[in-house]
Amino acid sequence: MTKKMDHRSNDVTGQKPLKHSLLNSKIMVQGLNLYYGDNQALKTIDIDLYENKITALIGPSGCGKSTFLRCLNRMNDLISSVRVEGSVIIDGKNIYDKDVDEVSVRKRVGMVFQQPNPFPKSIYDNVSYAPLKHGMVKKGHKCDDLVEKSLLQAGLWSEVKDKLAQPGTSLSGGQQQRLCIARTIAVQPDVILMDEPTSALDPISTEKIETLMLELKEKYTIVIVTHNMQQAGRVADHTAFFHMGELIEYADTETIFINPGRKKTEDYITGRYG
Amino acid sequence: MNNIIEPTSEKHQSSQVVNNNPFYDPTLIKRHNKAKRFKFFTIASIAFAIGFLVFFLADMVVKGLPAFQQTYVQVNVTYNEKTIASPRKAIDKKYRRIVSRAWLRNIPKLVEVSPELINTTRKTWVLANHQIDQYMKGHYYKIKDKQLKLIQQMEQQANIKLKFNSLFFTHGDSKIPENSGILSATIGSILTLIVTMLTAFPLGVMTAVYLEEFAEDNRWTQLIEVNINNLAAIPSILFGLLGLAVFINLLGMPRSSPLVGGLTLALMTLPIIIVSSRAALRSVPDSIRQAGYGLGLTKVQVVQDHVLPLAFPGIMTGSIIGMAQAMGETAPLIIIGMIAFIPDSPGSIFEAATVMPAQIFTWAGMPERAYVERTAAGIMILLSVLISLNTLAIILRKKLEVKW
Amino acid sequence: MLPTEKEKLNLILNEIMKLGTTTLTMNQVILESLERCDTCALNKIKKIPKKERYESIDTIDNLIIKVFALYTPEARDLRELIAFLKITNEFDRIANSCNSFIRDFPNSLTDDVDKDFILEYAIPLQKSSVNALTYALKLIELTDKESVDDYYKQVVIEESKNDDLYKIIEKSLLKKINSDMNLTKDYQDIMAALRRLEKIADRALSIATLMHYAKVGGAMGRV
Repeated sequence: MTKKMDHRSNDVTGQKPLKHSLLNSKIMVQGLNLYYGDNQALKTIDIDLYENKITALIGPSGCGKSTFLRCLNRMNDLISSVRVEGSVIIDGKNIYDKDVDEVSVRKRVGMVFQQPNPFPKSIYDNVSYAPLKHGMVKKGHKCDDLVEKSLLQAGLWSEVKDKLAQPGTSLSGGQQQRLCIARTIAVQPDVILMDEPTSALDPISTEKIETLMLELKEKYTIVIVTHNMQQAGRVADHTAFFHMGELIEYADTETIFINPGRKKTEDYITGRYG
Repeated sequence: MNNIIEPTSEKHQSSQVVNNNPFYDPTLIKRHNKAKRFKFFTIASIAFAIGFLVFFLADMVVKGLPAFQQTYVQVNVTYNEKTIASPRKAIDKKYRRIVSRAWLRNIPKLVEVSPELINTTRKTWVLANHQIDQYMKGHYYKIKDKQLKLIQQMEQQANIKLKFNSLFFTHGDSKIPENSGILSATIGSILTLIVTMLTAFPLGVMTAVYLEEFAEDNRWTQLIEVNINNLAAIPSILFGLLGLAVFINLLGMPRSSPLVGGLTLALMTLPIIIVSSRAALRSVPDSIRQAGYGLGLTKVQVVQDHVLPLAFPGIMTGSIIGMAQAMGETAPLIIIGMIAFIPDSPGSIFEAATVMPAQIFTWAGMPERAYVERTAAGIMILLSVLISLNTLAIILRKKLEVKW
Repeated sequence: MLPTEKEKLNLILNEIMKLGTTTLTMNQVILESLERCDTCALNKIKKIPKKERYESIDTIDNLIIKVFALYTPEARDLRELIAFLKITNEFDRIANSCNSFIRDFPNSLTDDVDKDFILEYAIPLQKSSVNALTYALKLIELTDKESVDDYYKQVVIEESKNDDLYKIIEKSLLKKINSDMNLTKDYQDIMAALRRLEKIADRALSIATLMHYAKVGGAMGRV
């Protein structure tokens, strides 16, 4: 869905910013409220996430960015005390509608976690397990091709092509994370969500994965949560600043880092927060 | 005089030490001594426990080892029609009191098996009476003087010997001590255990999977959890009463059978398996489940293909420990009747049987002196089985542990 | 380094070089016209309009700020970017000086003054400025330390040559003024115009100092 021309990059309330005329909205979040029991964790979030772009969610600890990310693929449904209001519209359909199966949502919206968590199976099985279960491929030639393609896209093929039978846990931290990315890609999602994907890794592995993200954005829409602002600066096209469950500001990354519109954003960026 | 000088020199020394050594700390000496005392107490307790264990084991072994030997006497045995009809006549009158009644009873069967023996007289090694046996082993005996002389004579002629007691392992219980063995009890134990495991393991694991993975965290599940934990602490004899009431009286199952025994023990082992399976399931890191859900897998797929395989070693270990415990249970089985005198091995799980601990209990209550060593021997065998089961659990756990 | 960062750094470098080349070309054209004694040609030299200059400088400056904000460069990258930020200013002042010279020198060359004498000094003056600027520009693209030091020394030499030349011109022109007080204003105008050329060499030295700092390190300031 394309949006009409509206060049306001930040408005005073900061709530309905950034409508690009030339960009496709892949995910439209409208009036999203989330409650953990009685405690409101997300307050009326309105945001459009654009196709084939990297959007970073930044903010201090406990501001709700990870919770928000998990709303995009209904992972919060796994927690029994969570209640969600509002809508998350992906490709024109609200994923919280009654007739939408959460399992099928997660097939289209994949997730990579903070701690690399490959299954304790072989590298091959790690990548092939979900596609086989979803019935996307059958065991054999096609499956091998899919595994190879996914590992290639994740930049891991050359390092593991001779040891596909070894357990996924035998790889280094950075390789394990790339394996998790390959595993997510194998299911052929449209969107990849990443929850602090490099916070457990060393700088060189981090750089490899950031380069990978920049390549992946050609095919996928990427939303990443990061507590490292510099990472948002390096990879993200757009950045959203969350604070205490509210979306304070959402704009081009340059704008957030050079000319933030809200004082709260500026305080956070400059380190004068708290 | 020395005393007066030493403290000052010590002080002088210590102040010198203070000057030179920045790490000198006098309070450390007290702390180190306290630690040493504590360590001493812990070592002493272990030594105490080991001492008891060693004492117990030594006592058992000393009492039980003689059971693995049995006295045999070499006498002439006549096989003919007369002796088959009346086996007492097969041997010489003077030896009749010495040989075992049980062996004599067995003559007709012997002839049936080896027909060439008929109308022959052979010198064979015959099982001796249990009193003779006790005499040969140096224990208390009740033998008339005449026989005593005869035995001493035979000793000189080397016609009386202690041999390996193979029929301890091939015979079931018997009123004749020298003829008794542990076979029927062993088979009974095995059958009972099979029933227990086949019932308790699937039920326990599935319950644990449901409680851990699928159940919501509300009052009902908490209630169930509390009750399961309580069940594990109930005195085992009450399970026997439950078995009696439900399985035997209500459902009419055969009394004393491995079926009923197995089901009763299953009820007892169930809480243990559930608790240890839950712990094993809980030990699977949540990140695996999250990864599974993130890929769009259903709950069943995540549990079946990822969580259970990882929890399996822990579940196995818990089950084997539960099984080992069940093997040693006596009280509930007494109530359902497995304490009866069962000489023959059970052929199926529906026939009456006894189990090893019950057998030991029975033998311990028998008047004949010969049963003392058999009781101890039974305990030794039971202990070896239990220890090997537990060792198996440890080995399996180590081998199947998945490295993260 | 991420490819996006590399891209932007290359872009900044190219823009700086473009700006530098434009400035150098203008100076070279000035030199040529002086050498051909074609003072009218000076009038014809196209001045780069202020607006255009400011546009390209602002582009570069904003790009540099963007790189700072998004990539927090360190060490050599940091030094280079800071140097570039200041160099844009220097190029601007050089362009300003050139424009002023182009505007003032032809007018000050009235028929009464000793044209040949003046040109005799003006040409080497501009030549040394052009040389200084050329070497300074070369420094921007260098990487190895030894060459950097060498070129820097060259710039220093040219700049001091330039200084000396100007002092001589000043003295000589003052002498001329003494001999004919009527032409005081004319000769003063010429001195003012020639001072512009001298400033170009100064600017070139500033550029070279900044680039030396960028490539070799240390603290910012005169070496």
